Amino acid sequence: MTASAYLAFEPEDQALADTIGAALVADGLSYAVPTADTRRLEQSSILAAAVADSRSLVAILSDASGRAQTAKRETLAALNNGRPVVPVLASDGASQSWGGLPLDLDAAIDLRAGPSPERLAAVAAAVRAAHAPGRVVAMLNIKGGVGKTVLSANLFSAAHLFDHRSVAFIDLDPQHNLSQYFLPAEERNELRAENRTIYGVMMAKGPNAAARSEFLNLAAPINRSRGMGRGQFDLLVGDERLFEFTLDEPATVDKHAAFARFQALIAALRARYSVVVIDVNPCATFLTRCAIAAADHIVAPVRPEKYSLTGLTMLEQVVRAVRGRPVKPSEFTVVLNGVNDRTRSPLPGDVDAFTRAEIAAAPFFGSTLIETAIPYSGALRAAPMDRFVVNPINVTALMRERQRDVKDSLARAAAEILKRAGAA
Amino acid sequence: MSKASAPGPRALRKAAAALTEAELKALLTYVRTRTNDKLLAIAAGKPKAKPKTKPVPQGLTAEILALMQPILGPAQEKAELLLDACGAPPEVKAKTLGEALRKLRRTKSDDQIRATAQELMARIAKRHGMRETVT
Repeated sequence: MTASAYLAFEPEDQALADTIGAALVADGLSYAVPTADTRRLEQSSILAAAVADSRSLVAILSDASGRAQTAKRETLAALNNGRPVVPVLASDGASQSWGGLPLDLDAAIDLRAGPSPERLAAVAAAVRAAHAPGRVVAMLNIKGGVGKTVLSANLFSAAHLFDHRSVAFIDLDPQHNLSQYFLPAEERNELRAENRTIYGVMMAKGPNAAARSEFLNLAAPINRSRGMGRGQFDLLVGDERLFEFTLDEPATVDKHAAFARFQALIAALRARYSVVVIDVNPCATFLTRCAIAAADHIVAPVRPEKYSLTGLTMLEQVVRAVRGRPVKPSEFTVVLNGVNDRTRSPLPGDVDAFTRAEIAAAPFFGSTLIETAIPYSGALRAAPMDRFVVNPINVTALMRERQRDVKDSLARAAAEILKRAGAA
Repeated sequence: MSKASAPGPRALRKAAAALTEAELKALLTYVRTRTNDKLLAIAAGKPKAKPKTKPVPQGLTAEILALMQPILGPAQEKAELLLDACGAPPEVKAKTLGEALRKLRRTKSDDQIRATAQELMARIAKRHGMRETVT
């Protein structure tokens, strides 16, 4: 059974861990603790799997855990597996010795004066708050040009329009094509001037840094039909300056802080929206790591072509490396995108069937391919447009496409993905 | 032969089956020469209904439709944009531009509506154009 929280601590803090555990149980929550097996250094993937099996992690920051490594490794595993971390400060010097991890120490619960009932209740409340029902989905394939951006816009528009899901998009690609897809240049520039882009989230200091308290107000509504407001179908706009986070030696950016701020953004959005969609650049960079670490589920679009399959193979390797543990097929969904594309192949049926058969026979991804494929459609191309868009959702195929089969496929695929992602 | 007493196609086929070839030929010749007979109309079935054609918008409606055509979106949203721009109260609703114009004409002249629509489109063109440029 999945525990509400994993307690990360060193043996010296056993008594405090027991007290916190008892407080969680008294509050109707459950907890897991490290075992002798997971504490062994060579068992890091077992440790990561044990942490990932809990829904959050409570890290006891003490002198003992500051000196040792196990609790830090457990906490890092939580951060890399999208598990919210609740830091608990147990001694004065602990925050310095834990400074190497991207933790939000300002939000730490202070138990230095002892575990009073009020403070323990605060720990339980923080664990409960970490259990927001929203699901985080990353659109990812290491191969580019498979339709991640346009497909994410259209799949989750279908979830919003047909299934009444509240959706927040995060454009985490320096090319910010998702933002271009929905919003005109003028509006994007305005949002950038107001520091209301993802760059403001990732920057911890300087004039471009957005205040953490403002994270929920950064996203722009992109369904502006009457009766719709913020919180229903929104986009946190991308920014080309994100490329600074893809370089080897960042002179101006603090990746540790960016990682922690991105996790804080995800926690805030998860509490408001039923689905948070991250559109990521097609390669393996720091930004990819942020997305993988935050995601509950990864959706990999695949074109009926051979290069897409290589991207899929690499995807499993990259996710496994980031999460530090073996990954499960249930953490992925593969969607065949652009079938019956007669502009690309003279033998569309054969190519589609061949690609489907290749994936279906794959040992890992075989069970991840959903039945519904997305047919090729002109409305799913990001063609240059000389029209005016007042309500951004009108650019999606759901609003423009006349062919019923395309709309139906998008709606069916979205429902299948959300079911696999565990969305209620 | 009155319409009520005319035999149906099934009755005709039954009657034809009982005829000799010569009798059938004579009957068909009779039918061909009597083109106005109601019997023929019944045998041919109902005439196909003509497809309904939408009336082509005229005057101000046509003008506003063309003016707002570059906006990507359903007719209802365009109608709402025009109503809002003309200062119509929020409870005034319309599903098409034609309907919006009918409601606006109760309080505004054609010239006022035209001028407001042109201003609206100028604002939209400045802020909502989806053309991408290279710097």
